[in-house]
Amino acid sequence: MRKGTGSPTDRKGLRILAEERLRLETNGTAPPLPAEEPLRLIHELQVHQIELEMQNEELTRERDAWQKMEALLGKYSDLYDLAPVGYFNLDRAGVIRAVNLTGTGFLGVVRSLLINQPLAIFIADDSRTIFHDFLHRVFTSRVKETCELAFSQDRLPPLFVQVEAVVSESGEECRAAVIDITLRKRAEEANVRLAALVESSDDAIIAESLNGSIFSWNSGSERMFGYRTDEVMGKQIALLFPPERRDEEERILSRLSSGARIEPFETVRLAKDGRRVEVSVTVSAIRDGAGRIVGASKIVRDISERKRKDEALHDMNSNLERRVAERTEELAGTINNLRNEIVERGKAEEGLRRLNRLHAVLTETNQAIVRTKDRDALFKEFCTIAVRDGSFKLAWVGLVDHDSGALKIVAADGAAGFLEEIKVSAGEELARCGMTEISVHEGTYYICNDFLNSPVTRLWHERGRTHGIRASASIALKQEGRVIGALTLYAGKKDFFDRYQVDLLRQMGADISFALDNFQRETGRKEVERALYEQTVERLLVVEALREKEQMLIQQSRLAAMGEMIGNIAHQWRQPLNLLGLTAQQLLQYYDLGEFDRAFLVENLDKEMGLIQHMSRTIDDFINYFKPDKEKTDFKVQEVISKTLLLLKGGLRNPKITVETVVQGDPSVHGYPNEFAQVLLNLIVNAKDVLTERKIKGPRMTITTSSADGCAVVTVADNGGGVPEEIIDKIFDPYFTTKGPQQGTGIGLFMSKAIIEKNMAGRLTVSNTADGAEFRIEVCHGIGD
Amino acid sequence: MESGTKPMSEVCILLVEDEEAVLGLLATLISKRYPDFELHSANNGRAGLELFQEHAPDIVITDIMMPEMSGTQMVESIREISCGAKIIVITAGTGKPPQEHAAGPEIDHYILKPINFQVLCLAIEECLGDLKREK
Repeated sequence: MRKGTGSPTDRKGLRILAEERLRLETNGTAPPLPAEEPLRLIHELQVHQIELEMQNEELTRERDAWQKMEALLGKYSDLYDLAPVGYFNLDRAGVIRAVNLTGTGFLGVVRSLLINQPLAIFIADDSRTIFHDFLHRVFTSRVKETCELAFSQDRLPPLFVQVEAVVSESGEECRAAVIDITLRKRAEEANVRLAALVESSDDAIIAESLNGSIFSWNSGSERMFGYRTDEVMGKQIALLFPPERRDEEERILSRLSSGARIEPFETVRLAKDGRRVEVSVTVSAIRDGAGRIVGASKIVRDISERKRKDEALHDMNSNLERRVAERTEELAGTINNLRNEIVERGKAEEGLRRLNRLHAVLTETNQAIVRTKDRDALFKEFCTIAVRDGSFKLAWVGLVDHDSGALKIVAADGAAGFLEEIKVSAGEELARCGMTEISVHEGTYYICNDFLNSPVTRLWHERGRTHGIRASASIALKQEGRVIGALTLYAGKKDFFDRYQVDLLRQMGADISFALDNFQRETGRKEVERALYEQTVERLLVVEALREKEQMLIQQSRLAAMGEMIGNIAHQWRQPLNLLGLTAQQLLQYYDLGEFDRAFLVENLDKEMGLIQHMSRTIDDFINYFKPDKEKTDFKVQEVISKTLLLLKGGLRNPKITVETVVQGDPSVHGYPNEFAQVLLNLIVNAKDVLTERKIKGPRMTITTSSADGCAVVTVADNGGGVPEEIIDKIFDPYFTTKGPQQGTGIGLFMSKAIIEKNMAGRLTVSNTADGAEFRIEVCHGIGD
Repeated sequence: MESGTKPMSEVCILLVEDEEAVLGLLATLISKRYPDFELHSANNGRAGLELFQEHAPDIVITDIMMPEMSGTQMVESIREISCGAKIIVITAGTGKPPQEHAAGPEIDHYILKPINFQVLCLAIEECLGDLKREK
């Protein structure tokens, strides 16, 4: 196959080789007979045959070599793929160009997906910089470089690898061999941790070989025994043993060799400075990979401190026991003293109990003071409390009688018999009562602690004996600083009242006196309240009266309005009624004169009916005029004025008032025409009243209608002299009137203003002209609703 | 309808009333009742006073409320001229007592509106009797 030029067996060479071989085969007998053609041909053929044979030989050889190579290649491929090392061909950028099966296994990705991927994407984040540096180093140094990396694999712990790489001949790729060192790494880490543990331990941890030479010595050992590592490495451990314990080591090692377990034990060791260290020792065997015991490790703990504490505790215990014994004796003495004290205390407590009882009385009394409403109730309560809570035999309160100056019992509780007798002897007798008399007189208190023997109580010795009274106390009661009586208490024991009791009793007296003052003040306060209440009632009555007056005014105003209307109707009707009367009377006259005929009767009735119709219309006009408006409408101001004047015609005749109407525009207003008319009526009647009352000569009224700036303006002016300046500000106030009580209510102008300003959003004002008043109504178009 | 008490051949009456319809009716009624009397009528005080000065009537029948000159003013003026003439005032019943209207001049009779013609006739008859006595 490979037989072209350049090969040692090219065509020319082959010919030479073939001719050579032919000459050897014919033993040189083949003479070259150039002249003889057939011979030459045979020769040629022979040579050619040999040539072919030689070619065949070569081909067979080459085929064998090929087959060998094929087998070799297969072997090496397997070797490449199945090697425990991962092989990667990477280019300068770190892109994977080729990878073996182990390599793909490291990355957990099939080969087809790895080719042309940058290896970096499979490298753990913290290793990536190392990888890039490494790749750079490989391509620059061109010698074999090594680094350690971690591959990050999906959902698996990182794979630690060692990478060795060298640039290939082309210089464009490098071949990298990757070895899994995860296990080694783990072991290393575990070792580091273990070493740290050993190193940081406070205990001495020492390893020795079976012949007793030290091969490991931690810092705990250094601290405990004072030897540095370099001082003890390879030395016999025996140097730590005190002389009397040298044999211990031998026993330990022999037991360990036999595979027996050695229980921790306590012993003594020697430090470098000769100090004896009390220790507890734990021994365990060190085995090689095959499980053979090759040494011993010892953990030695310093227990000197613990030992010292144990001793101190023991000392303390014995000390305590001794002291307890001593104390017990002391206590026995103290208890005796206490027993004596208790007896004493019992006596004191009896006094205290009494005091407490009295205190309870005081407290209850104070509550009673708060509770009770008057003096007598308080006294009764006090007596009850004294007997019930204070266990007094008797308690009573006496007050000085104003007239006789004697004491009178107002409240009492307790030993009834004693009281009965006292009651019998009332007034004057009591005044002679020694102790109460003294307390009242002095304005303080008096204590008698031996009731049956005191000269002061001699009048009551017998009664006291009968009722078991042995001591008594009397406290003056005051009201506003003046003594008004006393409260007196009787106890069943001699010397019942001591200094403290007296203090409390005085306190009680003061409290009750305070309460009495309070009652006094309370009474005063109630009086003031009653006066206040009466004032309030009075004021209410005044307000009520005012309201009634107001109601009356409103009623009056209604009546006035009605009267005004009736007056106007009367004016309107008077004339037609007169005519009607005369017309009717004509009938009889004509009849009497014999002039009565049908024609006359028809004419007469026509006149009468005409008058009746007219009168009827007049009433309708008034009714419509005063009918309240239901809703707002647009109305011509001038029409309302005309209607109003028509109604008032009669009223304006006496005295004859000239009414001039000036029309300067024909404005419309949106609002209530009858209310508007009412306002006009008010203004016109007001003007008429003023003109009449002031007896103005040539009374005149001018009503002007005009439009100004989109507003309807109506003025009602008179020549009545005008509104006095001092009241011009008040004339729109309700109930303000200048007229006499029969004529005016003071409501008219107030109502008029309300109608114009509230109901029609207009304005009603007044001003004075040269000879009279001018009221001005302004209502603006479109604003009315 | 007798007029038998008519003592004189001629009695003159002045009627003053501003309301034309009333004036006309009254004039008709009076002239029908007293056809022999001389009757003059005016529709205001001023015209009435002029007629009084001109005819010196025996009886004046007048309204009170009138334009130009009220009945009261006219009566005052008449009294300045004559105290013999009988005066009958027709007054609207305003509720006020008639005396108020009669401040000053002597009024012989008050007739309230609406006029009862019989009452007016009685007043006229009385005036005629008085006139007769005074003569």
